Amino acid sequence: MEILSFIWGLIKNYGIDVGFIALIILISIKFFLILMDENKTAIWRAKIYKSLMYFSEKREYEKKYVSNDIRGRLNQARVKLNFGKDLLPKAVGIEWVENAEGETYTIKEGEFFVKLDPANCQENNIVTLATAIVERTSLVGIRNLIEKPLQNSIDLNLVKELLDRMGNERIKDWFFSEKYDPEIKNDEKTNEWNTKISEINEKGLFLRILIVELKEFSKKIKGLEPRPYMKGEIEGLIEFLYKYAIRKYEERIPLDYRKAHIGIGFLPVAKTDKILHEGIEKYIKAIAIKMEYEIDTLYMIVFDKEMLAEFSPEAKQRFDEIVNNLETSIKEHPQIFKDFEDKYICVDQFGNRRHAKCIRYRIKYEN
Amino acid sequence: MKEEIIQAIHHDEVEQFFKSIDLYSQLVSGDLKCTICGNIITKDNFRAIGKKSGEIIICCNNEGCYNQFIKEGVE
Repeated sequence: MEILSFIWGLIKNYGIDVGFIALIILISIKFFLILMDENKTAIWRAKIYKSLMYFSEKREYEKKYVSNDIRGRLNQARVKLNFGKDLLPKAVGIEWVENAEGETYTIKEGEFFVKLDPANCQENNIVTLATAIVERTSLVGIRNLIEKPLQNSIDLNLVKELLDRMGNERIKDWFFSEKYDPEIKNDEKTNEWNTKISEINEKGLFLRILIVELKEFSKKIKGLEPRPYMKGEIEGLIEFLYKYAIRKYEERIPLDYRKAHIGIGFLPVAKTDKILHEGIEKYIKAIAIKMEYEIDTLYMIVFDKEMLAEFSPEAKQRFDEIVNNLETSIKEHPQIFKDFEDKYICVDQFGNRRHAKCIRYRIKYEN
Repeated sequence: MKEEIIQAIHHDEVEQFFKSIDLYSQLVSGDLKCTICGNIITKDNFRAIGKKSGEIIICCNNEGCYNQFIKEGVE
């Protein structure tokens, strides 16, 4: 509507020629932006093939619609997932099996083929391939260490997050009714793990912390023989994050998790009184203590103070300044390096939706 | 962007596919069974097929079977 008003304004002030030229320029820019983004291009191609499919009912158009639609939508959603700096899961591409009559083929080792449903069951196709992509390209290197119910729970939540970013309620509804709910209900252990994973997810810690740490863990144990303690380390990490996620106000819980390969520490910046009256000293001391325990990854989690801003804008400004000072002090530390920062919305301990920020730091120690 | 390529079979080309891999007669006679649950595979309930450790692995359209197939059926 704004663009139309803008064009109309140009026509009124400068004549129809100028308005028409401006419209052509805007359409060209939009077209160029779509071409530069291969996911958007795939989605637009899918729309064109869908129209051709309805008019001609040709199988080749159905195939092109199905494959472009899945590819564009899944890959576009994947880009919106935050796993720190990496993109997980892998992007998906679809190749149709084209066997001419009489042609033979031998399935190669490790190869697999999936039957896709008709175009009018596209929700099913998208969920089928989202599941395949997540399960084949996530938890790489550590899947054999994780018991099946926990694998299922992590995979279900990853698929859920992927589909969430697609923004299509029909696909999500299909996923929950045909896949998520049955899997949780059919297995008690999956249900138990899923309760914890869901709670961790609700607090914004699943993608930003758990999946990131599991990926780091798999890099660290690459080449090592699988040992029972490795399974314990993963499950311990989940229990640690779960306790943090469900902690009550003022409840004292461990903020560090240090094992053979995983060493993370939380630095929550949540208590307004504490930071406004005491400054950053206690946070700097806490970091020093964590470094004595050789924590190698620090997660600073800052909740936004929207209510404080309404009550006292000056206090809110002071809070923001102090948090900036804390970030600057950490940045100036010679052993601490910022890895990524991510802003998100989560549910806090009181069930309120809050804006928050998670900053991941790597700590390096001289050997 | 490195992609994971999924090889897809059109729902109307299942028979043709099984002919090309020389398993059509077994499909028609009901000799093909889901590697995960043991159900007889038909043209309608077939979901996925692959090869692991030299063996053909085939899966029906049960969600649990498909999940297991994807996680363990092929590497």
